[in-house]
Amino acid sequence: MEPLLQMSGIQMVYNHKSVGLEHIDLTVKKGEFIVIIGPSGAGKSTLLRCINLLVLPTGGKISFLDKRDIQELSGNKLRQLRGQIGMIFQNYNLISRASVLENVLHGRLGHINPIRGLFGLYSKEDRAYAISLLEHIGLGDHMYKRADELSGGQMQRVGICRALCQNPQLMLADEPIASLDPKSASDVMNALYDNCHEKGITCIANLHQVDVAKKYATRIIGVRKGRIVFDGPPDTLTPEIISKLYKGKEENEDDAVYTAV
Amino acid sequence: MIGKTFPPNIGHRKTQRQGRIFFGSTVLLFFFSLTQIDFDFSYAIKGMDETRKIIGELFQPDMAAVIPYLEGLWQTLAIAMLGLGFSVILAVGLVFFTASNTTPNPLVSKVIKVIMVFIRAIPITIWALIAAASVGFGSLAGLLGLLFPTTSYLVRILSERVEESGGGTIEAMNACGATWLEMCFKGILVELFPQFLATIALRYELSVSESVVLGMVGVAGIGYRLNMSIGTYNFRVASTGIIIVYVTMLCLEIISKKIVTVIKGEGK
Repeated sequence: MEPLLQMSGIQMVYNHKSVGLEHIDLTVKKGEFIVIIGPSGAGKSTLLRCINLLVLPTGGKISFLDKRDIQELSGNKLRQLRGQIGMIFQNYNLISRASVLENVLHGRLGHINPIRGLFGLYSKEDRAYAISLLEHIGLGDHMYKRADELSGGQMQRVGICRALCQNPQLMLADEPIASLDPKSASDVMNALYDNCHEKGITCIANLHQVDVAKKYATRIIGVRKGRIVFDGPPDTLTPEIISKLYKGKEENEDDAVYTAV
Repeated sequence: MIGKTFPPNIGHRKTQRQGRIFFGSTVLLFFFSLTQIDFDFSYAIKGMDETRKIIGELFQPDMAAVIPYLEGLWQTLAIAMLGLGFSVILAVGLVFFTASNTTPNPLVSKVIKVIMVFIRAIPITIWALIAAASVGFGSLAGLLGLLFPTTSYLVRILSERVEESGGGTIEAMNACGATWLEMCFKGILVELFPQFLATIALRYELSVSESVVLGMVGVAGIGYRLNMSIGTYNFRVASTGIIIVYVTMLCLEIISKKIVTVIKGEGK
């Protein structure tokens, strides 16, 4: 089966000096729920942002679905690509002054005519879809509220609806629960997992919390200093590997790929 | 019992020495400057009498002058409002090309920033005179004179706001596949609307005071009348004008502060 996403030799170097990503090879199959773990500054966020080209890698190739070399895309083709990849953020990144419904409808902007999008002229079908997504996730009563009237967990779920409204093939989640209390975090992770599972959407998420990662992931990837050092199912992620992954920066051991013992 | 010698120096030697050198040079420069200028203090003493008379007149405003001054004030406020209005439209058009995180081309952003610096370097009175030279003295010159520096100021402040706070919105809108225009006007403009409005509200106050100054240069409005009265040594009339300007500026400051508080108070 053709992989959904293929990253080869991805490299990110800032200002010819500091290396964000050294060499990333990653193949993602449809339907996976991948969680990327690793210490802060390891390059998890950079890696995720290379996929929808919010960050342009300085080297390597990416192919997504049937499109090769998407890192070369620009303009309308880039917009169309991004329309197929939904993303949620640690700080939700909603438009605080706009209503919840308006925020969700922003997910359609990659698919509709630019003029209509600019004036917010969404079709009846788009509106109905957005409303159904909100109701399904349990926020039907909050549709017309201003986004900043909601709690953190609610806002993140609005973010999920916005991404789902794109009808994406792939969902990216950058530290979605980092700013949330345990109950909200659990609501959000469940919403993310259930929606992706129901709709057959592949998901790649960055998480700090290894226990949460183990609970939801079909596959875990450990990133350290810009390289992938672990790639496998959750039950092969031993405590030894975890501690090696999150080891302090003072120790400068040779980071070979960690395999399960 | 106090010893014959003073206690040893407790301060930091180098810093004290620096302080003494700085102070000493400043005093020397001060006296040197005095010798370079032709101050004739006898004039100042002769002028004391006049000064006392003028101050006396300033405390007796001429009430008959209120109506014409209010007409002038009205003109000034209108010029300031129009100047600000046009500047806002221009600034909003330019800001998304100027902010480094929204500009389609980094070179364009730098060029605009450099041009704005040049515009701001020229004092507003010069702009007004240039405008007056082109279209004659009057309200239009006032408007044009205000336009360049106000637009430049707004572009600078608003683009800084976008650079500071726009990041998350930009990422989210781009991730949805929004077009550049959608990202700017449905995303950033909506999200940063309170900050933009606060900047504009505060700017109106400044525009009015600049408009008064433009009047002094002969352009139009209350400043023009004020300048006339002072020029004809009619200080009682001038005093009326000064009081009116003062009260107006005070009211504007109170109103702008209130507007900013109300806007920021909404939402979280």
